[in-house]
Amino acid sequence: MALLIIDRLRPVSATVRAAALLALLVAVLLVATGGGSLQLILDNARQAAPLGIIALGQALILMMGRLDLSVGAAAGLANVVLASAFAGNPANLAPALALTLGLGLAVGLANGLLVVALRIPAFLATLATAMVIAGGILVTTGGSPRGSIPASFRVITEGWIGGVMPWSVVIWLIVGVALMVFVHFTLAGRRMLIAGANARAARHSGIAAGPLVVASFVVSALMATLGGILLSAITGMASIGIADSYAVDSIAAAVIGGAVFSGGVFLPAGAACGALIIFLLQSLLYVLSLPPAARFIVQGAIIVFALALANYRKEG
Amino acid sequence: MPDLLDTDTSPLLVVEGMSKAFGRNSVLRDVSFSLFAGEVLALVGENGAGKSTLMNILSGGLGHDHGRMSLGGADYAPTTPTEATAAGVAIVHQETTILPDLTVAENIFFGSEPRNALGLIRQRELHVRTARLLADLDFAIAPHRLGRDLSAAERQMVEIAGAVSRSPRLLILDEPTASLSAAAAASVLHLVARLKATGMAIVFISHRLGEVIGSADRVVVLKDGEMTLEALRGAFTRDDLVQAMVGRTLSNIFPERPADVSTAPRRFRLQAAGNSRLPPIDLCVHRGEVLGIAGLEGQGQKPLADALCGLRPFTSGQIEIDGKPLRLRTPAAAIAAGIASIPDDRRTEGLALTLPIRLNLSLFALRRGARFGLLSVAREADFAEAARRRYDIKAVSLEQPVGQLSGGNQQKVVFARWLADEPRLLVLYEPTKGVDVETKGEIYRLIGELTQRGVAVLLISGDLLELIGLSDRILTLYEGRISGEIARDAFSEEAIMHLASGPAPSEAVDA
Repeated sequence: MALLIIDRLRPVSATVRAAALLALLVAVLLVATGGGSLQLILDNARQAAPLGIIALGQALILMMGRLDLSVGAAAGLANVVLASAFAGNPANLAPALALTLGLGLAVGLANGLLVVALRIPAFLATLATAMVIAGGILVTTGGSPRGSIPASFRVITEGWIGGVMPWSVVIWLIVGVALMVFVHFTLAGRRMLIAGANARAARHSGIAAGPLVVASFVVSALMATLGGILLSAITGMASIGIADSYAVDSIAAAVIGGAVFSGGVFLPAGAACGALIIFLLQSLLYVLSLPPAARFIVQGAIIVFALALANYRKEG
Repeated sequence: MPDLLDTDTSPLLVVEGMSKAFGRNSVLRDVSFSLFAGEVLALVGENGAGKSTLMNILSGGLGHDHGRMSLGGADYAPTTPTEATAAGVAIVHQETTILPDLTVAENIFFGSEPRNALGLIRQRELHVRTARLLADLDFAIAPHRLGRDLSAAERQMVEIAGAVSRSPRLLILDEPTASLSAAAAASVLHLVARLKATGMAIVFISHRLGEVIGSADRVVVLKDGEMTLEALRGAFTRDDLVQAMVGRTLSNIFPERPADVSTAPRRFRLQAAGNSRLPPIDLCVHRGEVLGIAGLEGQGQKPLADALCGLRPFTSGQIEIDGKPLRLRTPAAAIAAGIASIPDDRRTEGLALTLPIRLNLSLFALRRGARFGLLSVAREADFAEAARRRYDIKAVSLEQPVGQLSGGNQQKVVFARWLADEPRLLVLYEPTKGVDVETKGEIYRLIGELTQRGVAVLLISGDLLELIGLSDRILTLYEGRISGEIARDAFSEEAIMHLASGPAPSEAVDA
């Protein structure tokens, strides 16, 4: 039945389909929690912002026909580095941000160069980067990271503008719109899109894909870093492995939002819907108070189901 | 070997009112013909005329919408290739499927090897049967040779032997001679004649009209999915075939060429230019000239095209455009120098199929409209709309993915993009492959217009009619080297084939 409905929706854009799925899920959540409000939805969006921003970067990587499995590790790195550089003192804002973003940039450059210069398949290169980062964090922190995020900085996720709009949602929106404008309205973005859709045709037309691929990994790593920064603001402290699930979740979010593994598609609004769907599903599983092990199983099954739905239309 | 010679006079194969459509795109309309045992039927038509569709329906690879077939008097409607094989129909596809690491014998009996009780292959019996089959076919080749060591002609013959090993009543050969030199093609045709003598019915597809006239008992010409000619040996001429294939006489479809362009200034010149895939080559093209490059498949056309567009650049020799030396290291450098090159495979090298027509069209025009790296959406839309009108691109909307267009309209998009800025040299590599006749005519007309304005054209094509109709001069490639040059007044299929077959017919099979 669900497949039939999705099939009927075929001519409709992937974004609309993801939005419809999201609306359905919001309705389920509202029923499950016994009524609700716009504020409740926005509060969920507020907490979904880290995943949402990371999914935007992942969507850009998918547009290039590649995968970035290091986004979870990069977000975790940002969390540990930001907390220790801040050390709870608001005066450390500038160096803490500079260090965190600088490391993110380095991760992206490393990924991009591994893929382009050494021609290592992206999912392997980024998996390797993720392992190096995770190991590096353990070595330098000894397994117990220190530091904390000052309350004044935590406003970026905990604060609401005028009490009606969470800051993190605004940041998410700005990033999404910026990426959308970049891809669809700049020469560089257009070249990226074409190189992602058909690298051989792009090369034949004088577009060298290499630098564009490196750039996309840098953007993705910076998005992961920004997501890690927001996550830090939510938790207020450094933790090990807190962001690991973002690698799979961001891919699921982007694909639910219409991204395709063969590249050439960039739908930031779809990716945002996908991220909200993943986040709400996770919330719903908490609300249903399943045991943790069952939650993992159900969550995995739901991601598989959602991806199967999203891919269903591509046959035929 | 089937030695049952049908003595009655009813045809072996009858095809009646065969029709097939893919979606709204009708590829075969009401095709009817019959074929007797011991006859050779040549199926002729341009690319995209429906030949492959018809072959696939006959061999069970594809179902049909309307019509019926009978084979040996019984209804014949195979739904899978296995059913077709069981009914006695075998097909040899154009791309050979010879496995390089298996022997001739193993390739011939692949999938139907004689086995012992344990399921292991009986090597001795395999070789004995192969030797017997090859002797029957009068095809001298050692059964133990490896697939990788075979010449193009030998591969083709091994493929045919593999199909014959299943003792078919009807054998279908899809362009068996396309990649063969004249001498090697002759040995394949000799094999066909031998099979025919055993009472087998044979359908073969060919683009070489000389071959068709020489060896077919019956010819069927398809054009845009419709049968435009069915005739018996002796009842058709070369002109009849051409007329039926393209729907008009050649003088109407090709632009008029100026009397002499060799006095025009030299536009582009290669001197001993080569790379690891291409031996050093010398050629020049004048302003407004169409230089045809002919050759059998795989004689260096691809390396030459790739080098000219900068994808796999020349690493030695000199390149000159309008008298100035040129370094051609990247596609971007080629574009900057005014060299536009239309790739042979538009689906993988020319277009981003999933992206809208507008994006595919405006790739080069974008640079002019861009300010500070920002695209001008209005200019882009104007450009795309103008290109749609100028090239008569038939599309529902410019936002449609370009992959949804027909081959001809896709090719128009490729042309429109590359001609956004008028090039100095236009390199065309199989420009009308998989394009309908209508669009073909438009492309030819466009080439005529461009040359009038001084654009030099280098036309690399395997379509002899096209080469003869468009070119001012033809060079033939053989093993990456230029093996001959033909002036316009000496153009003929035979002259081209002769030079394209190399200096001496060394590839002849010991048949």
